[in-house]
Amino acid sequence: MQATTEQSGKKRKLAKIKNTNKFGYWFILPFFIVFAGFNLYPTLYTLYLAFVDISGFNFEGNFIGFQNFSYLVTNNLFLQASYNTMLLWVINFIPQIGLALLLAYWFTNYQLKLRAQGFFKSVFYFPNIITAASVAVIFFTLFDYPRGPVNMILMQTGVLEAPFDFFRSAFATRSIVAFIQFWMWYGQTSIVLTAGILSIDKSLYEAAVIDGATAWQTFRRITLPLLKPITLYVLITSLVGGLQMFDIPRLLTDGGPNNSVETLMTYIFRQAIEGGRNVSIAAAASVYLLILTIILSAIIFFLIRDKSEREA
Amino acid sequence: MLKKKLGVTIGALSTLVILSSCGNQGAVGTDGGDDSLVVWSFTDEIEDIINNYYLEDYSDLDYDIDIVQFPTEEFERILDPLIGTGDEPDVILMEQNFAKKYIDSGYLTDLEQFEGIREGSQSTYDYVKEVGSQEDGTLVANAWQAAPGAFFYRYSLAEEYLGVSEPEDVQALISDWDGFVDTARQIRDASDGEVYMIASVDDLRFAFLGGREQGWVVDDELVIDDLAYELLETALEMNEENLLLDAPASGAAYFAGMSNDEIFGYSLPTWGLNFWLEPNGGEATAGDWRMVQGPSTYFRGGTWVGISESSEMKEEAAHLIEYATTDQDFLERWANDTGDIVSNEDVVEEVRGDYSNDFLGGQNHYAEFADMIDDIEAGFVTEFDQTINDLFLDHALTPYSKGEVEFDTAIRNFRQSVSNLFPYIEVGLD
Repeated sequence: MQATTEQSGKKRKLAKIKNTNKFGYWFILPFFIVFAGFNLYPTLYTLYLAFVDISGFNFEGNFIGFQNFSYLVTNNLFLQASYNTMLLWVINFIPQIGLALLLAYWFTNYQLKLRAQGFFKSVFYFPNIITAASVAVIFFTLFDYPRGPVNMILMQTGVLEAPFDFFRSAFATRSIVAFIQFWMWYGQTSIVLTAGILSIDKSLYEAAVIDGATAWQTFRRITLPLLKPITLYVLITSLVGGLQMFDIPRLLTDGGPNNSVETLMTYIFRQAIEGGRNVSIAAAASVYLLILTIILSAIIFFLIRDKSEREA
Repeated sequence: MLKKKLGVTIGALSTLVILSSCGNQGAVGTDGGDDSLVVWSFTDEIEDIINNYYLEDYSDLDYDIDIVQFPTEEFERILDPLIGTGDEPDVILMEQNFAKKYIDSGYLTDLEQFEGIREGSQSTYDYVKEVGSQEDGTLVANAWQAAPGAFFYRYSLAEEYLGVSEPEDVQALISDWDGFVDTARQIRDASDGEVYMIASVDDLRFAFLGGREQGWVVDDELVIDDLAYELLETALEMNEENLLLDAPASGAAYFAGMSNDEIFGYSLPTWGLNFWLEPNGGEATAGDWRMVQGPSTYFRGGTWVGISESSEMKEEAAHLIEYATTDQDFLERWANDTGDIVSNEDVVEEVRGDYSNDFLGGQNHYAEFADMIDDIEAGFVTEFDQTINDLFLDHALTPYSKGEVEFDTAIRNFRQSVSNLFPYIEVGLD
C-alpha cells in the first residue's frame, strides 16, 4: 500500500480508526472505583495492620513481623473459634443440601406434578428475607428460660420435668445456631438446585424412561452427575458465607456459653471493637480467615472438578 | 449467590450514600463547626438539662447546641474511632463503666483551668471527682448526680415472712452478707419457697464488686479481689439453696418480679428507683417498697461529662459543664423535679430534709441515700470495667453460680478471657 502511494508520488489521506471500544471502560469504571475504595484498599490496609502492633487509642504501630500470627496459632479462643466455625458450617450444611436436593427433586419431577409450587417456593424462601437481627430475637424469645414458649410446650407435653436453659448448654446453643443457618438458607439453596436441575437437557430423561430406568436410577445417574457444577457453586458460596458466620451467633448469645458459638468473625469483631481493641490481632485473624477460605475453596473445587472431568 | 452480589452492590451504594451524608454532617457535626457546640450522649437526661434549664437561664447564647444521642451499648463503638483524630465532639458524656477509658486517655481537657468549675466542684462529692480525675489527679470530667446503691425490699413481704417490717429492723437483719443469706433462708422457709430473696445474681454482683478497694487491673496485672471470690461463693450458695430466682439480669422475669409477690427485694442504685422499680412495679406494688443500705456500700452507674482536648469551643463547653454539674440553683431545681441524688454536697444537705416518696410509702429516700454517699469508695473504677465486668459475669459468675463448672475452672476461664481481650495484661495463668 505504502509502496503504491510512493509510486504515484501523491500523498494519500488515510482513514482514522475510531476506537469506540474504550467507552466500555467508562461504563465499568464505577465498579472499579467502588472496588478499589471499599474492597482493595481495606484489604491492603488490613494486611499492613496485621504486621504492626496497633491497639487502643494508638494510631501508629511498630512493625513486629509475624508476632500477631504466632500469637493467634497459640491462642485458645482463636483456635476454638476456628473449630466452632467449621463445626457450625458442617452441621448446618449437610442437612441443608440434603433437604434442598430433595425439594429441588420434588419441584422438578414431572411425575409428581406438585401443585402450588410457587407458593411453597416462596414460603421456603421467606426465612431468608427476614433480617438476621429479627430471626435472632425470635429464636431467643422462643428458647427463653425459664418461661419461653419452647420450655412451656416441652413441660406441658411432659418431655421436660423442669425448664431447660438452652442458652447455657453448648450443645443446645450450637444446635440452635446451626438450625437457624439451615432454616434461613435451605430455601435459597433449593432454588439454585432447582434451576440447576431444570437446565439439564430433557431428552436425557426421556431417553432414560424409554430405556426403562427407574426414578432412582434417573436421579442417581443423570441428575446428580450433571448437577455437579451447580453443587460446586452452592458448596463454595455456602462455605464462604459459613466461614463468615457472624450475625446470628453475635446476636443470639454473643459467642456464649463458654465460647461455644464464638466464630472467627465474632472473634475478629471482638478483638477490634471490644476490650483492648487489638486492631492488629483482628487484622491478622482476618488474614488467616482469608487464607483458610482460599485453601478450603481450592480443596472443594479440585475434589469436585477433577472427578467430573476424568469421568467425562 | 446472586442475592449476595446484589446485597453487596446495594450495601456499597448505601455505604456511599451514608458516607456522603455523614461527610456533610461531619462538617458541622463533630469538629466544633463555627457556631455550634456538639454534645455526644447516651442518655436523654442531658437534653432535658440543656433545653429545660440551661437554655432557659441562658437564652441569649450566640451559638447552637447540637445533641447527638446513641444507645449506651453503641456509644463506645462509635466514639472510640474518633478519639485522637481531632474530630471528637466538644462535650462527651461518659457512663461509669467506660468513663475511665476516656478520662485516662489524655484526650480530655483539664477542667480545673476553668475557674467556675474549679470553684464549683469544691462541694462535689469526693468519689464523683475521683472517678472524673486522671491518674495524676487532674479533674477532666464531672457529674451532676451521685448514684449510691441500696437494697429495696417489699414492706408487706417482710411483715409476713420476717415478722419485722420497718427499715431499721430489716437493715439490722441484713447488715452483713451472712445475715443477708440467713434472712433469705428465713424467707424461703416461711414462704415454702414461693418467695425469693433476690431475682438475679446482679443483685449481688454490684453490691459485692462495688466494695472492692482495688480495680480489676493494677499496673497491667489482673487483680481478683477477695470480694469477687466471696461473690462467687455467695451466688452459688444462694442458687443451690433456691434463695434467688436466677433470672437473667434485666430480662423479662427480672422486671416481672417487681410487680408480683415472688421477689423480696432488689439491690439498686438511685436511678434504679426512678427508671426500673417505679415503672415496672407500677400500681401493683407502689407504696409497698422501702429502702435500706443493705450489706454493703457501693455505687452503680452515673454520668460524667468532659470536654475533648481538640474542641475549639472549650469555654462554651466549660460553661455548660459548670452549669450542669456545679450550679447550685440548677442542681436544687433538678433534685426537686426529678428526685435525683445530685453530686453537690451542699445542695443535697439543702433538699434532703423534707423529702417523702410515695412509692416508698412516704420514706425519705433522699436522706437515706445522702447518708450512704460519704462511705463510697471509687478506687476500684478502671478503664477496663465495661469489658472485664462482662467477662467476669459470662465466664465465672454465671457458670459457677449455676454449678456448671468447678471454682478453679471458673477462675481460670475468667483469667483466660481477660488475656484474650487484653493480651498485655498479666492475668496470672502459668
